Order: sequence, then C-alpha cells, then structure tokens
Amino acid sequence: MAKRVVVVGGGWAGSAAALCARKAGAEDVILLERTDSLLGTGLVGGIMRNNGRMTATEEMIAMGGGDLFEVCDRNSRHVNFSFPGHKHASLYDVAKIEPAVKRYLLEKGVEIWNFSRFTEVDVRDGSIAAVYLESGDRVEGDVFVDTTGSCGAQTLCTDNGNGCVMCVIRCPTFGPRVSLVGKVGIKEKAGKKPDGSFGAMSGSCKLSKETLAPHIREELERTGMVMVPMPEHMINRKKLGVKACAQYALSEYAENVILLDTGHAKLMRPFIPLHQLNQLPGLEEARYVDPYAGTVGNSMRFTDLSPRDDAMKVEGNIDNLFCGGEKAGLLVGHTEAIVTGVLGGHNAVRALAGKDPIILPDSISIGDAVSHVREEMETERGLKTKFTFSGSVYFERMKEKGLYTTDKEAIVKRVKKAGLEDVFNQRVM
Amino acid sequence: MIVSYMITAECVNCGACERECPVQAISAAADQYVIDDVLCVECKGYFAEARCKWACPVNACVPERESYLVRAVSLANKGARPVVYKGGPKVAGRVLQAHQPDKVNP
Repeated sequence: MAKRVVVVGGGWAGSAAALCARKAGAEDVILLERTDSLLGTGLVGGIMRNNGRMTATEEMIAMGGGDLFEVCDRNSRHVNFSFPGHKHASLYDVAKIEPAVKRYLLEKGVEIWNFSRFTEVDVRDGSIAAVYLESGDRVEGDVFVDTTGSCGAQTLCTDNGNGCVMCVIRCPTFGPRVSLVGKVGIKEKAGKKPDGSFGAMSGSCKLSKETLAPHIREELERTGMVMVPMPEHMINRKKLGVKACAQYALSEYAENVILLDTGHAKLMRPFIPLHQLNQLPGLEEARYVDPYAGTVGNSMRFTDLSPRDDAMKVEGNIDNLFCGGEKAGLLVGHTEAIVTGVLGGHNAVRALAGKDPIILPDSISIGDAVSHVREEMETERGLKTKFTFSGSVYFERMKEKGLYTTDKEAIVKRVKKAGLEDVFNQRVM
Repeated sequence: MIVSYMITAECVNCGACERECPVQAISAAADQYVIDDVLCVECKGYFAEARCKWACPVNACVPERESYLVRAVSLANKGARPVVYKGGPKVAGRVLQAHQPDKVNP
C-alpha cells in the first residue's frame, strides 16, 4: 500500500504542506480540516508581498514551492500598492481565494476532508499510527504534519482575551482546535503579550463594504486603501501593544482607521467599539462581518507552539511528526504560514523516503527566519516578540543582513547559489 | 441534572429566600439576591421542596437550568460525517464533487 501523509489542519500552512507532500512524490495525501472551508484565518487575510514578504515569496517561487503564492496573485484585487509602513503589497480577494486553493489542491491530487476534527491519537512504539476524528473515524498514516494553528478554543479567548467574539474560526459550531503535538504529550510553549499574559490578539477585522459611505467605498475599490483620521479624543495608543501583528503597531494605525480592500473592507486594528467607529465621517453605518463582535475584541492566538528543529520536525518522543504555520513559532502571517508549511510537508515526505531533510541556509531569508525564530523562542523576550517578513524586528534584521530585496533576478541567483533551485518541485519518492 | 437553584432577574430584593435558606447559600448581590451553587443542596434533607422557591413571592427562585451549564455542543458532536473531496487533473473547470462516506476507513 502507498505510504500516506496525513496533514492535520487545513489553513494556509496545512494547504501548503499537503500540496508540497504531493509534489515531493507522496501518492496518498489527506488534508483534515475541522470546518467547512480551507484556509482558516486566511479567510480574513489578504495582504501578501508587503515589505520582506516580497523577498520570501520570490525565494519560495524560485525554490519551486510557490504555487499558493501564484494562486494568490491570480486572485488579487490590488497589486503593488502601498499603505502606511508597507510597500509593494498585493491583496487577495477573501471571497474567491478558498475555492481557488481547494481546486488547485484537488487538481494536484490532495484529498481534502472537511468536517473532520482531529480529537484523539493512536501512538505505537514512538510513532503516530493513526488519528481519530470527532466522528469516531480512524485515519491511519505513515507520517503526520501538525498545522492545527494556535487559535481557539473559546476558553483561550475568554481566559486571555475579551471573550468569544464569533470569529471565522467558529469553534462553537465545528468544535475547538485540538493540538496534535499537545495530544502526543509533547510540551508546547505559549507566546506572551508585553504584560506577560498569554497569547496575542489578531490584528484586523472586516467591515461590510455595503455599509460604508459611497465615496469611501469608491476610493477603497479604486486605490485599495482608505485612511479615515480619528478624532483626538478617540485615539488609544496603548491598544497597539496587544496586537499579534507587530508590523502594524505604528502611530498611523492609532491615529487613523485604515481600511484595505480585500473584498470586504479590512479594518486594520484588533477591535473598536461600533459606536465609536460610527462617529467617523463615512463610517456612520459601518457593520462588522468578522469577527461579528469586533466591537469588544478579536480572536486570540499563539498558544501551543511546538518545539521543532529547522527542518520542521517536531522535537520529542515521536519520530513521524512535523509541523508548520503558527505551530512552528511566533511567525505571523499567511506568507509565513505557507513557507513553513511547504518545508514541513516536503520534509515529511523526505522522512518517509529515508532521506535527509532540507534545511534552508541563512543566506535565504526564509531559512534565516526559521532558525532565528526558533532561537528567539528559547528566551522570555522572544516569546513576547512577533516575527514577520513584513515589518517590525524581523524585517529590520532582513535589512541589516542584506536579505531584503525586491530584485527577482538577485533572488533567483541567491537560491541557485545555495543549490536550492526548484528543490520543492523534485520528487523524492 | 439540577445541581442547584438559581435566582432570575425577576428578583425584587425582598430577602425572603435568604432568611429561609437552611444552608445560608443565599446572599445579596448588586441588583438581586444570588445563590451560591456550591453551598446549595436543593434543600435535600431539610425540606420536601426547595425553601427559596417556596418563600419567593415572585417565583424568581428556579432550578438552575441545564442549558446554562452544558457547554456548547459542536456540530461534529451531533454526528456530522466527514465531507471528502477527491480530485486529480480532471477537476479543472468542473463543479467540485464531495461525498460523505458512511465509513471512512479502508
């Protein structure tokens, strides 16, 4: 029987891991997803290629693992535009991206299981033999990738956030996330807020575009972005510290309401009471579409981070478990989830084939980020920091080390020099 | 399962229940009286009927409802089957087909 790769969690990281497991030659790849849709928090996302993410994206394309970036490019509403602190961004359409990704994965031969929440695990002799779904079904596999993420359950949001705000994760309906790494008994870490409490709050909401004043909607659709200045008495600079997305912790984001056109109107702050939002000119009738209770808070994330090596293999007493996405550390964003997912999925197949894993060198920004974040997570300071190619401390590091560039040829050259050209397109079994 | 009695928002703050409670489980809170569900024994061993319910003039003392206590039961818990999509190159341009197997394991 063909060896089977089971990817648990169908967000950006899981989608990338399953796809790259197929590309690496695994014949039987099952992607388990708790809800009715793929992409998880990617359903509220949209911002790609901004700042250092451009470099990481082009590196991954040069290494042959960039399929999902190209799917995003084909479903972008705006390309190569700037907003405060961010250059050359593109915005994918959150309404169109999920079917596009699902179709692409199916074309490439990934089997997708929706309504398939992982709840229990069967471990034999230091290997995972199978996982059980909430329905009671047993799914056997030879290697497993944990891309269950770090959002939810509701208790995470009630204990460390402002309560369940009815976000796209939809824990009450589909059941809460269960960590595979946690279930096999490996101790996980949790990110911390600057005040030391656990988790971090997601950094943006979505408004229904139909509820915005016509001139705002028109400008949003034409340029991709609208900035509405906040009256002085409503500016709360303290709130920036609670955000998961450190790249948006800039004063522009406290002093303005920034909207981006991702299909809906993406509101660049963790939350704002609706009655305050409605005081702003043009937003008098604005309504939330995600989270529904964006008036009081947002989803909490960054608990349950796996100990892992730079090949995305989970460290501990299990020999056939890899990870990707937010499980892999305090790497924030869809681009970050995709690149770690690619690495986890590809290396899972290498392990099946008995081959050495690929570890990306620090001459590639993705390789540098993967090892840098792993080292930083050993420290208390690191656990309070969020890392992303698109801003804040890691983007600064990219610039210092000369890793940031938008020159595609230079990036291809860099990848070739490391001997990694098209490596994720190569079958290893 | 009833684990204790509770006082609803109909409470008029008369204090009758507090005086009658055999285990001193009832106390005044900001807007109404409340029952400590750890102390409440539903008057088992004291009275045939819960004493607060008997004493309350506005019928605000009621068994704590199960719906307040049971955690949300997820859709999957209600027996939802996995929905499986299979593809291959023939997917292009077609409506995606999903099926719900009775049993998913080979």
